[in-house]
Amino acid sequence: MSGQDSWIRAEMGGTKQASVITKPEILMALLKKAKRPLIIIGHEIISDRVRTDILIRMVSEFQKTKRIPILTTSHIAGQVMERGIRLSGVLGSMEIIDRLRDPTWNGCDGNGQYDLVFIAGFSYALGSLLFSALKQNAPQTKVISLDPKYHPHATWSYANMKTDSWKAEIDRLIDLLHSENTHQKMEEIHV
Amino acid sequence: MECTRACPNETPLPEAMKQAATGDLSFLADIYDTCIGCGRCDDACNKEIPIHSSLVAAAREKVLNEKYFVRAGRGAIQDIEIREVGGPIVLGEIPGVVAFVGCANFPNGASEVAEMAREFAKRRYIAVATGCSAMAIGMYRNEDGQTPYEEFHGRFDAGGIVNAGSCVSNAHISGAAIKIASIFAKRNLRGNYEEIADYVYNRVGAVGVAWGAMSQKAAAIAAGFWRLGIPVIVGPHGAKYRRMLLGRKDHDENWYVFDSRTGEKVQVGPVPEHLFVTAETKEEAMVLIAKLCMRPNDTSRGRSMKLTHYIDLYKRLYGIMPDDLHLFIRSPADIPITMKEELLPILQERGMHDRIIPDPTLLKSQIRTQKGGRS
Repeated sequence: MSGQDSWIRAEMGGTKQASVITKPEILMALLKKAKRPLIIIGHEIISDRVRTDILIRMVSEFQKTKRIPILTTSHIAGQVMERGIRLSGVLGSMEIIDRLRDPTWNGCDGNGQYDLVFIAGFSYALGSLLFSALKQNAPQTKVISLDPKYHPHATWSYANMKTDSWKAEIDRLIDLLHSENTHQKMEEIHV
Repeated sequence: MECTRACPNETPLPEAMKQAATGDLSFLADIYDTCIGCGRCDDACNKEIPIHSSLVAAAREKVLNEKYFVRAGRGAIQDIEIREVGGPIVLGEIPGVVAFVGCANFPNGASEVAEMAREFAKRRYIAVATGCSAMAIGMYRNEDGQTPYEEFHGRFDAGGIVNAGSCVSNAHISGAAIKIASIFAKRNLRGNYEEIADYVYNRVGAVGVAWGAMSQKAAAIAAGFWRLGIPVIVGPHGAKYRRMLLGRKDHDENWYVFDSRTGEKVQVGPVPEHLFVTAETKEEAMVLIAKLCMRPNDTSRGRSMKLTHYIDLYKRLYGIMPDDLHLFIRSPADIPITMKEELLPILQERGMHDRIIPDPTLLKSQIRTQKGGRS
């Protein structure tokens, strides 16, 4: 891994900067603690083939194994659904962030505000502002960047890395999700 | 790599430079279309390569052939034109006025503005353009080699693309909205901003699009529009203003107006939902334009026409049906006739209930029956 500084140089992170996700166990621990996780995917999830494949696979695994609701922004809803992902809603990026900063919002399913938010697939400059808005206005929410570019405004973020290294990280995460899911199912059968 | 990290549009400069080193300049020339010419790549390069100059040189042929027709900036919209279109706009029969304004800080090049303008002119909206956006619209050719200015007429009427002039001519666009209130509805102009803005907000289906907004001036222009009740959509870089004026369609209690005939409070749905909002992609912007053109005053015929465009664009660009239709349909007469069979089951499932169409106002002073109000 390399680069724990803002990908676009001008997007400074302030005094409190995101911790780097060095191993997938960190994400698993965050998920374990979370009561209401959510995934938000932006339009760049459908961009170049490699990035799209990695992100779709990861999001799909999160949905299958952890049943995390997925919201999408912009016009990619149909294309995401074609790839087998079930969406809990479609809202503009500004609308989603506006709702996440409102403690009285009951979420897409009416069951309450989210406490852990995964974000992926936004252009860096826009994504940076979304993270910044949540950092300033929803300090109780943990926000994770899943893209391979370091986002200082997130709570946790991957460092700047090449696509190959990022793919390896995501593969490790998916393996972990699988093994934990299998373990959980075994326990359920045993009980 | 430092050049990409300095580029506001994250253009793939390192890959293009590598390819250029082999003698193939095509990739570098392609980047010319999305480059905004800020020159940050030049400053960032630790090898001191004049990247921007290389890029322009690579696109030399393209630059030399950049010759297009742009309709001359025509200045103010005339009173006689407002008399022609004021009624159809207020009643919703012309689905809306879309103003393409602002700077050239486009996220994916100038062609997106032209694509949006063409789409709405084809749908018989009135497209108005100023400044850099007016130029951007001209820098596009359709399959017949025509620029949008050759393809569409230049009158302030349905299906036209009007070049009002430089970006200072934005005042002519807001001026047209004010003229609708003044000429068509006889609202007094002097010292009467509140009433004019109330009229425009509730009745005139106009939307501003500043797709490449960048400057403080663009923000001031946007503010000039939204304070008049005209929603403004900015491109993804517009989020850097760090100020949005967002409505919440999930809060029914936010969407009441007074019926100026009776003074009764009437729920009208989220029309228009936002006054200043960033769109991530041109597809999102196009759907937002159609949605934000809806107004509480729309007649059933007008609302049904506006909904036709909203649903059609949403289905085509998003690939699914919008989930908020029930908020915009006030009675069965609002449902687009050609989509009735498809929409009725969805609306029944979401619990559509009939609402009256008021003579809408947000001002108590406009209630006619109230003591001290308008008689």
